Amino acid sequence: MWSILKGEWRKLRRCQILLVGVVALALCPVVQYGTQLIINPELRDQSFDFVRLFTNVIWGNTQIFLPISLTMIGGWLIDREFANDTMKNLMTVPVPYSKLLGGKLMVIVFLSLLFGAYSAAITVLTGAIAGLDGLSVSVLLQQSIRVVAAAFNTGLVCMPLVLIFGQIRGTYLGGSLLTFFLGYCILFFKGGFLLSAYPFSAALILAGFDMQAYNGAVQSSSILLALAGMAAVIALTMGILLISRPGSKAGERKKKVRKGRGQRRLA
Amino acid sequence: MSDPVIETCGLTKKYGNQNSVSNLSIHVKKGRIYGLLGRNGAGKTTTMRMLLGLTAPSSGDVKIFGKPLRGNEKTILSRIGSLIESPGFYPNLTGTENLQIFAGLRGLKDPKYIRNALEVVSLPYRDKKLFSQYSLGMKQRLAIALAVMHNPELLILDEPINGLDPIGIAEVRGFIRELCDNTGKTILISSHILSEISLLADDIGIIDHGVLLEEESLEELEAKNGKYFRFTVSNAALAATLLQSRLDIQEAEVTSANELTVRNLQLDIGAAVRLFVDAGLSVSDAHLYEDTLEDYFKKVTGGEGIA
Repeated sequence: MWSILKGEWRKLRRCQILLVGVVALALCPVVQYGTQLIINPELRDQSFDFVRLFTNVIWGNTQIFLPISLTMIGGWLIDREFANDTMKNLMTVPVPYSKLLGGKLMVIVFLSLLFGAYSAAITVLTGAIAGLDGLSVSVLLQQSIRVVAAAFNTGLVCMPLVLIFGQIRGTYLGGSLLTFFLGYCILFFKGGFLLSAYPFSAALILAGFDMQAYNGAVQSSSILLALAGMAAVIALTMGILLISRPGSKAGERKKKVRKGRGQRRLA
Repeated sequence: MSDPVIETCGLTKKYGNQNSVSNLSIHVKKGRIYGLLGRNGAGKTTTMRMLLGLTAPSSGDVKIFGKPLRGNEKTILSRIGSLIESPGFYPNLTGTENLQIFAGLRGLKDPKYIRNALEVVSLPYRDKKLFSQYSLGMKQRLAIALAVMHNPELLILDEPINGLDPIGIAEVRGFIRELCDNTGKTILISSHILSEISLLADDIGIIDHGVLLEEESLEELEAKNGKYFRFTVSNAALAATLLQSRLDIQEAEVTSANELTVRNLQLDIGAAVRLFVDAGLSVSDAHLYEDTLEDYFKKVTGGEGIA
């Protein structure tokens, strides 16, 4: 498994798709702070400090930026093995398909940790440039850990979607949009079972996010239900891993019909 | 005789109602080069994919190294090097970086494996050029390097000279021959280029429309190839009559107004030419011909020739 992980990590060299995550997570604190600036001054949060900025970033990351980035990158990591026709090389090593996918998921979860740490750094930078109050060592540590934890949990939640859209050829972009929609839905679950068990909400709750204070939840969230939601995601991921097959035509490249200049003229 | 390294029995692959490979039984002997010869779409690649477990057969069995492939993939595939269809690598990585990934997966820790493999195909080690910037020939060389990197006992190479320039083709041909002669590797190679197979293979399997039509050694095939005399004369019909009546040669066949073929090697060609000249015929050519592998291919496939 270690060699698979090492290989997967090596494959990320010079991958421009990683910029999606880098740019998205740099945008999050800027957007969250910018929102404060553009709203009506009467509605503006007068006590908007570092803690508020971090809270907004954690919410924004889990609701929008991480689901899009992680599903797109993860889906692409799987899809590229078919698109680049490398699956046949892997299958004839032989590398077990489920282990290969498992390695890719681990890379995605590790990337979510890195993105979390990066997001915390950008948040501090944004807050410092904006001149926000309330930055201390304890705030920095506590909030950064929370950002990274929420990113890690979001990475776990994205796993089944990465597996599904990575294996349906050419759908990882659509899949990332669907994941964005699923992440965005946390806004609507302010009470009941789904407030805690809905996987994206669970990702926040397990990172110590206060849904009542931020989301206007009508009841307090349940750690147990959040754990159950996360366990369901992991069970679903395992299930998909177990039933996944490279297909009878593993490594057969999807043939694109390219039109040359001459053909275009004829058409 | 030792057991064949590859043995298939009734191997069949159906796509819908169409048979891509039908009841194929091939036998690849240890330490020999087996050339699988067929036109494009004859079923060569499908056969090779089934031998590597990349495509599941609809029916039939595959035995490699004396064991059924199914259930023994891990032990069998690790002893095989393969190149199937076009070279598949990561475009964002260099050739060396690409090989490092597969070397890691195969547990080859020493960089000498990668260096040697690249050296064999004349590609530079630790070059900065990305795979996406490689020419088709370089890509093909890298794919061959990947196939031989782990020093496998068996090589399965699907059209390995595709995209190579003439010098590259000669190099790869020499290298494949050397692998077999010097290191005793068994090699299964497919091609639609007849000359390549005839220059390289010890044994030949001819496949057409998914069916194996012939499986013989090159010597056996050459022995089967017909030899005949051909004359170009001013009047082929008269020449044929003269041969029959004066030299008792009954196997004379008029192929055109001026061409005559004689499938009887007992004929004294000098006597025949003298006979024609004495009868007032002009003789512009008299030759002993031998059927080429292409002629043989045409004969067994019952159709058009091959490249």
